Amino acid sequence: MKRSDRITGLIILAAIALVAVSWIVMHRTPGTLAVIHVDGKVIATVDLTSREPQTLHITGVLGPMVIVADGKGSIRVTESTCPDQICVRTTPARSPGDQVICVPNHMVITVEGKGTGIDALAQ
Amino acid sequence: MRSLNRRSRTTQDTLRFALLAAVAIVINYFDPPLPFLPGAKLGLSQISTMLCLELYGALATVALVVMRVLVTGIIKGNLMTITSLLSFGGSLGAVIVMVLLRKAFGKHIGLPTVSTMGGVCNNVSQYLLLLITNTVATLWYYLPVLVVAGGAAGYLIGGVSLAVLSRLDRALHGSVPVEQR
Repeated sequence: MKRSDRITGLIILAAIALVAVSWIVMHRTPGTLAVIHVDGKVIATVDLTSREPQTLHITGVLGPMVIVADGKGSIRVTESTCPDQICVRTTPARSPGDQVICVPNHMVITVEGKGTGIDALAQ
Repeated sequence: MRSLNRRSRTTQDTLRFALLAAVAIVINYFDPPLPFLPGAKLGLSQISTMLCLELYGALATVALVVMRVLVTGIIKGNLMTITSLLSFGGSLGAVIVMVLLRKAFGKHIGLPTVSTMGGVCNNVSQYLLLLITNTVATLWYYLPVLVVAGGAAGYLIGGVSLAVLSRLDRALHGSVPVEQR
């Protein structure tokens, strides 16, 4: 181990940080479709590419919920009858794979779209 | 390099080389694929390559790589497919670069840095091979990730090789300062 080796180590750490950050940024691709499930059944789909804001009133297991797609590609729960309001405080979903979940209402919103990453795996 | 190069090859050297090759084959067989980087492996068998490069020089290392690729190809049943071609090409590219680096800057850089460049060149030459053989669509944006991953894995492998070498030196020849590497 020489001094240049420590420098190499630092360069590698910096490069890993850079790649990780850019990878995360690049993978924040907007999703195309939000699928709303209640009790495991699809009850509505929302086109996230649409520029029009949309408001949906659905019924969960506990009671009514209000879901808003803001027209900029993200979707969130604005009102819910659940006690903890966790779904309301969840970060709005916008990338493929993002989810908003309300457990008491048995409600799940998942975002789908192209570019979820892996389409083949070689081992 | 060490006195082993100057001395004529003994039975002991042959046996140790065979042990290195066996270790390389076994580790290569059980090398875990990385879940977050599709297609990438840690490349732990390159520890063996590094040791061989340090102890027995470039030609022996090429022989080791050929043996590893042939035997793992037979074990896994993918001999003469793109997988073993990539394994061979990557290791060969890495060995060439590491030998040149050691010759050119051996006084200033240690094993981890050499191994880092080896890891980078391993992945770059595999990428180039994929381009030439046109097996996959050109994933140009994957290259920087591969370079960094190869460098990181190479650095770790260099560090491990250094540790193994210093222990080997102590066990076989008494103490040899690590700083020399």
